[in-house]
Amino acid sequence: METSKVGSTDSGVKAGWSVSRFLTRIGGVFLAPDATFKQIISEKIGFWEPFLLVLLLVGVQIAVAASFCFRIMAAILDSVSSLTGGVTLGFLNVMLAIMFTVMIIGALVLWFVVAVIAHLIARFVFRRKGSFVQLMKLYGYSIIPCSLQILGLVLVGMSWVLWPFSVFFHIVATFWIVVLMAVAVKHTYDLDIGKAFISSFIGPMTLWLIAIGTAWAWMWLIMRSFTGGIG
Amino acid sequence: MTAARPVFGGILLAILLVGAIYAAISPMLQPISFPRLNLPWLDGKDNVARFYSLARGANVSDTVKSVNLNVTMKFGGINVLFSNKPNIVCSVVFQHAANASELQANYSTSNGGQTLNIDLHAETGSLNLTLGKDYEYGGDFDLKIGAVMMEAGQYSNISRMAFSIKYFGGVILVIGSGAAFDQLDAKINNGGMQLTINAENLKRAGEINADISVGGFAATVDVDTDNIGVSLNSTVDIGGLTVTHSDFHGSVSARDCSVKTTGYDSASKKLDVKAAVGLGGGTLQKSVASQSFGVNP
Repeated sequence: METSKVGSTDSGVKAGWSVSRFLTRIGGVFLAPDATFKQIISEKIGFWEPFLLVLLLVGVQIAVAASFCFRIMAAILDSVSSLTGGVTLGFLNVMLAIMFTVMIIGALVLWFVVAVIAHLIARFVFRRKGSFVQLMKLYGYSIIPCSLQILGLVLVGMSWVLWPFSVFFHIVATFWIVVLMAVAVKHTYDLDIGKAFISSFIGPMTLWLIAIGTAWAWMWLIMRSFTGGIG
Repeated sequence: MTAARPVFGGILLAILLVGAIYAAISPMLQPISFPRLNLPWLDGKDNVARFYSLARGANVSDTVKSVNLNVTMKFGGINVLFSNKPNIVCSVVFQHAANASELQANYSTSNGGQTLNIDLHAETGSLNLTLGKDYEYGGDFDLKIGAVMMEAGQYSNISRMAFSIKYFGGVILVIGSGAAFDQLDAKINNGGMQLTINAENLKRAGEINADISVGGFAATVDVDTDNIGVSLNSTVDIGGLTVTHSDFHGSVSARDCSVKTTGYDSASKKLDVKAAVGLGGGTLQKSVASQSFGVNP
């Protein structure tokens, strides 16, 4: 009995210690990313923690946005209920569920794609060795500032007049995510911060702009073919 | 700085928790509201009802045998019923918003006083027509947006009536026992037609034609097949047809059907239905319940 008591206390202490280390990592990514990323690499943290973190952050962010959309749609339907006869919102739930699923999958795909681009640039342009899985993990931690965006969405959802705070939080979070991704590449491939920034931000942005430009050019050509080359 | 990390981490997790809770409860606790869009002809408030009546002996001579109706409306509903009230030729109730225009109603006679021509034109509102049992009725009903409903029962006597929905809307036809009509036509650009045939007998053979550009055609038929033979010939350009009626036999495919009730050839009265649908669908099934609307005579 005595041994059992000691064992349960010990496991409780271990659990508390794990939670404390987890919170330290999350806070550390925000406050001291250099030291925290080094620590994550040295402690060989598994893939599940950043994966669940990404799911949680993106999921909550999309849920807040979806609830906001739901309220807007419900208000619009209520205002035109004299025309529509007060249709139910059942179909909206389906749409929001689809939107939620698609955006979660989209976020995971984006996570993978930006990591692939950064990996390819660091590996083949700057000729440095590094683990792609390690980069994926650190990129997962890098989106922790999304919690500020969630806070901004909640604030603007509570009151329209708080929109400047929301804009401020979104700008800060976006800049901070870019910085964290550069630091993640720096530690994974042992690059200087300038080259890491090129790998993590300039490279993906350049490819993104090329893709968008190609898409617009393609659409323009299609439209031109419809109008018989006019314009 | 190191001591602040778990605290900051806790704050970030707390934000996540708050976000999740807020997403769940905000639609219930903090609904957004926009000003309600009130269309004056739909909200029922400040509506005005106008009554018009044509009756034999009062303003219709005894020489009149048939009535030709010409009804046009831009937006609203038209409801047509047949009544057994004596001497009634045409009774009109027009409901409209106080600020909407009035019904323009005119009538004249032709064909040596045997035909009474009634012209009704309205912008928006609800038009209820009650027709009598002593005259043969015909005419055109043109509606731009809205619905036409007609119940033809034992007091009906129709030569030909045509219903047209120009932009969007529907036609509902209910054929009851003892109905008498030669031809009923419906042309709908966008919308649908619901045809309910629920009759033990008909006074004479009739024909119903439906032409629907985009929309659906739904027919429910519950007849005594010894007395009434019903046929349906229907085509759908893009869409599908469904026939689930045990009394009907014939050829059915996804795009067209040609079916007749059992004993069609030997039935004393025949009712032929033709329905052409462009984009949409068509269904034929046995009616599950008799439908009725409006004022019973």
